[in-house]
Amino acid sequence: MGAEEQFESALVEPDKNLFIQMLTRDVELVPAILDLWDNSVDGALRYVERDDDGNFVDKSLDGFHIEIAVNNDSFSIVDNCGGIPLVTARDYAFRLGRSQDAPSVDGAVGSFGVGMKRTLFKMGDNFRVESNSLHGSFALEVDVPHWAALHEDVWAFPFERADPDSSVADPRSASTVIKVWNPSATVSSQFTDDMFIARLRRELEIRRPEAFDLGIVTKLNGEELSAKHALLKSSSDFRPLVRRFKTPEDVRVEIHAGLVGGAKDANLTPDDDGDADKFVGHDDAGWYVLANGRVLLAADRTRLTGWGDDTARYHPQFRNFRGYVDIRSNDARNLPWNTSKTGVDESSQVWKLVYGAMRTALAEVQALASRLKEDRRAYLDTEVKSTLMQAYEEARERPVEEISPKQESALSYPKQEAQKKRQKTVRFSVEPEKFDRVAESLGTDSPQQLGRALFDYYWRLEVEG
Amino acid sequence: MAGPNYVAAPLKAITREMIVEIARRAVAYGPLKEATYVGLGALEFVDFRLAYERLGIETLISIEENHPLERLEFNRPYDGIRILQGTTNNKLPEIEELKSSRCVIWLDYTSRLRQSEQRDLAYLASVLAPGSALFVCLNRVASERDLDVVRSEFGDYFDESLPKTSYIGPNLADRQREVAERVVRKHLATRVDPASVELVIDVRYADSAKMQVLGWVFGPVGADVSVDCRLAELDFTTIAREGAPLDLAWPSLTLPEWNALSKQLPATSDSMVPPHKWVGEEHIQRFLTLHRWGRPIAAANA
Repeated sequence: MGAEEQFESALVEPDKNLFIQMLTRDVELVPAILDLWDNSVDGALRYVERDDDGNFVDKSLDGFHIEIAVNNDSFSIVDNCGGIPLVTARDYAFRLGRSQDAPSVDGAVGSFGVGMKRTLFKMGDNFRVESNSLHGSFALEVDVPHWAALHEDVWAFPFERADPDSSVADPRSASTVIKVWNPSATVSSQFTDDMFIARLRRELEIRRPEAFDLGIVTKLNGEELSAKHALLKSSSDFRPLVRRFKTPEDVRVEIHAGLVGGAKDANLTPDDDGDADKFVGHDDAGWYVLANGRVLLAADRTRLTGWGDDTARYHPQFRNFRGYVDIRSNDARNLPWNTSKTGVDESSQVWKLVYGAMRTALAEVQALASRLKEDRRAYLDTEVKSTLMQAYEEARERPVEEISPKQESALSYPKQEAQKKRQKTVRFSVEPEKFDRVAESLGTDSPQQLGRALFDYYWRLEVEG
Repeated sequence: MAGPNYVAAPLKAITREMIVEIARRAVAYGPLKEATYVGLGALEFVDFRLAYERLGIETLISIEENHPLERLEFNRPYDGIRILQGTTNNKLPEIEELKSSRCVIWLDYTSRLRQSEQRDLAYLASVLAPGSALFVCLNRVASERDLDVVRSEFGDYFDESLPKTSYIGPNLADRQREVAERVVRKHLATRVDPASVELVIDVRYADSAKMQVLGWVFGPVGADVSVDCRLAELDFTTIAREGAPLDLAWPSLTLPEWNALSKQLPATSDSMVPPHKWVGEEHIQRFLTLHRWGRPIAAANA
């Protein structure tokens, strides 16, 4: 051991490649793109108008637009949402981790300060960011493998161009262009997969409906997207559950839970798997959980949202269940989401309270769905619709924002007992080929109607006659 | 006047009296007249008479799945009793009073603590207002050949790490109490409007089938329910018994033997002298537990 060596501290110097790998390891592409879209929306939110109650004014962000383009060799997102001020670009936007003095925007979803960087790292080996704002303009381009190989005391992306004095005339004249190219083979194959594009579209459309309502236009590969709003059946006789509360952390929670479905459901058998093509398509039953407008869970029917946790597990009789949870906080760090903002953090105290309220709401809507099923069963026997069936059929599907916007509301529906006949149920099974031939002969393909016709046939010929 | 029916099920009748005593203590949180009683009245509505006549509760709701509505309506002692036809899983969430008033709830099940009973407990723990009381009656019989059924009945709460004997014979009652407590406390912990809760009764008895009564009182958050309701004064509560369950069984005594012990009252098991050597300590203890509540049929009819 040489006398000149110093042993004052142990080296903890980070390695760029390790950072890149760690940051991108668990990132999925869709959420990564949504991260960039969130940044654009948050950029526009700086210019939102508020009414006297402090609520955002619809269409006050008309003229802002975001265009996303995805193909096999590149990705780009171009917006005019106010641009990135040069100081923000220099001091915060590209830093790994959010610094204490970073400016925040009310209602924004960004909080961890890693979203944009890991998204860029994830999607390709090269990226370029260019922006013109009210407060300066810049452009930078990074060859990620080259940058990762550089040994720097201070990690930085050099500006290709930086002009602190340039200024656009108004926010809508600003622009930000982010382009990523040289994707890995895995990323490239996803970029060209129709299913991937469909999922990206769906997530964008249900993610922050208020962004669309405020007037921000989003296009994906040239096609304009529209918000998918949360709907529930609602009328004076058939009210869904509306619950609002604040947690001790000052997180605001709003829960809407109830049923969707059409009049045609009434003609289905109680156990059918009928068409519930509402909200965003098939298999949409379940809970939708949004945090500051971002979808954390969609159509969830697992234990995570209370199904089967001292409630009934999901079953087709609950296919018309829809529950929407809107969680908001001015401080995004209090939101119960995981670090990638793609799901809930089950250990969060806020989530525990939200979960408890969801589970209770679920038990109540399950009771309603079960009663409706019993009433339909009685209807098949009596052909008399219960008051609940009538109220359910007459209720229209309405956006949840319009349902009891000011007050809480308990689940409310007619509870009179359905008229029931004392009857016996006959069940039997036959080979499908035989069924098809008899069904063709009788002109029906409904097992219930066919069975009934057979019984009536025997009754007429052998018993009554 | 409603009172214990010592002929049909004498020990069950005593548990009813105990429930009335505990529920009455919930007056510490407000008048019971304004509370709601929810029970499984069947055709006899015995508990409804107690709720109205002894506790003064005027809002009465019975859940019944099996009997025709007309028959239930004919048999109800008061026209004001609202009858909900269906299962407790489906009907409890429809009762608005559970959330708008204090409640006394007695779910007189005949089954073990299955998943459907767990669901009822979970829902009630998540909505009952402070000042409410919840009681359940459960079957506590399972033999070794019932183990697979018990495993499925317990569902997520079945603990495979425990010896199988934990779920059969006399141990089943302990498991049921443990799971019921877990369910209640788990769902209480996720309430937005927090509350406190105390297990107040665990009585095990057997008129014919072996049964178990468990009960909880809900209080305001931070409250000590047992102090507020002075439950330690009731010697049959888990508070007075420092958590120990109470086994109710009739002493094997003739009328003269019963009378001989009665003459020594008040007394403790240490001070009481048996009338002769054939009356053992166990029966003296049973006598002391039960003598305030009534006499065995032979003695009562004498």
